[in-house]
Amino acid sequence: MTIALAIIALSFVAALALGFSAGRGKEQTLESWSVGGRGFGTLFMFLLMAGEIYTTFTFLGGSGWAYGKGAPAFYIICYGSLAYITSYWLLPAIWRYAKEQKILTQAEFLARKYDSMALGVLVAVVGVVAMIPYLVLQLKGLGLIVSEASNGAVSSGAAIWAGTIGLVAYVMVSGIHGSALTALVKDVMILVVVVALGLWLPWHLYGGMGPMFDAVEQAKPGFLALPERGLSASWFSSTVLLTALGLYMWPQNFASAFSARNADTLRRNATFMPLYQLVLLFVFFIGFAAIVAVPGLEGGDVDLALLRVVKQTLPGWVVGTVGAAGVLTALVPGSMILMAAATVLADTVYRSATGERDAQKIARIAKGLVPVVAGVALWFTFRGGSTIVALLLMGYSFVTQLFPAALLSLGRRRYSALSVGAGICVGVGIVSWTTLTGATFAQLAPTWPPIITDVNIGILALGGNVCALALAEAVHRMRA
Amino acid sequence: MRAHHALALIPAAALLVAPWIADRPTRAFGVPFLLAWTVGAVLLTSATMWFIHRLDHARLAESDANEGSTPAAES
Repeated sequence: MTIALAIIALSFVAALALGFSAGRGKEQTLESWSVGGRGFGTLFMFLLMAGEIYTTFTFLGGSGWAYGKGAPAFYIICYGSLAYITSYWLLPAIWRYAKEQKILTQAEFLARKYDSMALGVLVAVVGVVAMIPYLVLQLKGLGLIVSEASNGAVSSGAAIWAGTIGLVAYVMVSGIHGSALTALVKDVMILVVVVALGLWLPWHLYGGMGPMFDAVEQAKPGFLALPERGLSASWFSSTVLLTALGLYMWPQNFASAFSARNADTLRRNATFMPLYQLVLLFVFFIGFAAIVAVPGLEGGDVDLALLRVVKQTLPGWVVGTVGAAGVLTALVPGSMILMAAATVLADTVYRSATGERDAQKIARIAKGLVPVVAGVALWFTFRGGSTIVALLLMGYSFVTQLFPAALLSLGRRRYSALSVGAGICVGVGIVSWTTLTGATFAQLAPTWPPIITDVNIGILALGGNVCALALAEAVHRMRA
Repeated sequence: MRAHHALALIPAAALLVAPWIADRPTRAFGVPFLLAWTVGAVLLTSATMWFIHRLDHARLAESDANEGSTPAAES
């Protein structure tokens, strides 16, 4: 066993132990298990949110984008920051109503606001369909990290199984308390690893930040500017806007606001979450450093850029530490997604289908669904092939379609459940169509200038969503 | 919404217009100008939200206290 593998295994066991111990002595109602009894203060809320927003995508995907696409990767820094601005008003309003009504899930929140269980089930289905590929992505990232760090000694498949079994066990035992405590270890590790690598690699390999960017510019001219077409300025701005609206519409992110002790905790969070976004700066440095050091990675392999450059330049114990940090960035969001999916299926779908009122039974069912959701994710991880990529692209666009419904639910004016439901259906329909056919504005209107055709196609879905909503509402009011 | 909440539009605009005005071939602090701009916009976001929160704090602390935020044990 290599030293790298030993460090990864040790951290994995330590994280699980921490996850298990976090749940001890906590009463296990669904409210305690799923939203921590709404008792998390500023520090724990920060850890929780940072824990679930900064995933393996941030770590491997962020450096992969810098390596493979260059300047367009910078959008990732912008959208998070924009989302945190909106969270200052959005999350306290959501938190207040959820606390009053003892709500545990996003689907239940919208069902209660619009007084329609059918809408709740629709939101639950859209959310779960979006979350499964996100979970699969975490599992695949975990497998990639372990097999790469161990030089193939542990297969990706074996790592995914071990990771999933550990994950399911600690989620069932500790719920969100486990996630928050593991997130602490994860955040410290990732911060140290990413900042150290992001500063050290450019100096070690190129003799400084300036020389590194000179070398990148020489190897790939124009790589540090946005392209004229494709991932251009239009694409950049529209994508920042769309993904910022979508960030808190992920069911697990939406529900994490419920864990706050009070509304001010969430506002405070909005003031310093943007700073955490700067971790991405160092992630990009690592990706750029890899361009000249480990050239030739193409397609999906760009996600390996970070691990490859570390393996090539640093000793085994560093590779192990990086791998361990990577494994934790898969486990923490993975646990949040598992919990959010299981809670929404039990608390919204099962309860509305059967009319079950026994809270303890619902809690038991939610926990029982954890291995089921994990099993579905495992199936997709091993059997899904390329369809999972399409599903993942759809996931983000799917949850973004919930934004108009969530926003309008917070205003004074009341909209009918039918109208917002129609909006969501139309939006989700357009997303499915454009994702499955690969349609873009450039194809739909090839003669238009790129400033219009490069706009993210997601805008079309959100526009259709809002139009359908407005139309249905107008008809509804005429009849009323 | 209060008048000072409009301040949040400044960092939001800085983030959204970044590719239109900051995509230049020059460098700032050794990194591409666009990257330096986005980092600056993030710092501005945090500072602005902190300032808004500070102005809001006294008024909000009072209304939040009435929401019965029970001092539950931090896990």
